Amino acid sequence: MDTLKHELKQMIVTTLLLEEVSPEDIADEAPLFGQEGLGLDSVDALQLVVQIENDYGVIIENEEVGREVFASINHLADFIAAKRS
Amino acid sequence: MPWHETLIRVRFNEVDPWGVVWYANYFIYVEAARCEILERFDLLPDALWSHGYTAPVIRLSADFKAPARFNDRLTVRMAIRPQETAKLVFAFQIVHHERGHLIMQGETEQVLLNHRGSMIYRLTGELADKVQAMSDSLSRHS
Repeated sequence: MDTLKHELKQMIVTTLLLEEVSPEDIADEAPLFGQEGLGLDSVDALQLVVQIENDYGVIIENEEVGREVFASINHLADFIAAKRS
Repeated sequence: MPWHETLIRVRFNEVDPWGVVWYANYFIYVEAARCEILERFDLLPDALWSHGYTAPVIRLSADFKAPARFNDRLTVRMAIRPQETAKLVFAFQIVHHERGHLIMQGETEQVLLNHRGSMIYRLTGELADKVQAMSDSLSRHS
């Protein structure tokens, strides 16, 4: 699970071309969206959804699902692990 | 892949006190061209609404190269940039119809929201087929 979380942090930084954030800066429980966390927005989510589908074969249909899934790295890793198993 | 082309004539009320088209009015011409394309693929706003969606513009870019003046005839060229995500990106150029020089060019980017205001991450069903048909017909990479 820790490997998956690290992969996801790397994927977020690479996919969104984040220049001032390294994977190590992203805490497992920190919110990915909004000012309190990484500060991503709904258009960033659109990019991540395609990358997650390509990398893990897991589909996130829309923002209503995405709001839960992208709550934090912990939530995202749990969702992917559950869908893959 | 050819551009979709729409012919426009500049009206008196669209030019500014300097006698040239006011910058934001070019987007009215772009919108007329976009609607022609959307109508061809049965994707006008009312059709999109009946599928359950709206498509707000979330990004706009434009470069202005030369002025257009009252009564000029302009060709609005429009194409679609293929997307991996559930977005619609239209590329456009406005050229002088007779003289052929470039007046302005740019892109608009739209996302799809359902009627609850949530963004759609994947296109499915009949809407996906229509968008695919439009994209296949008008895709342009450069």
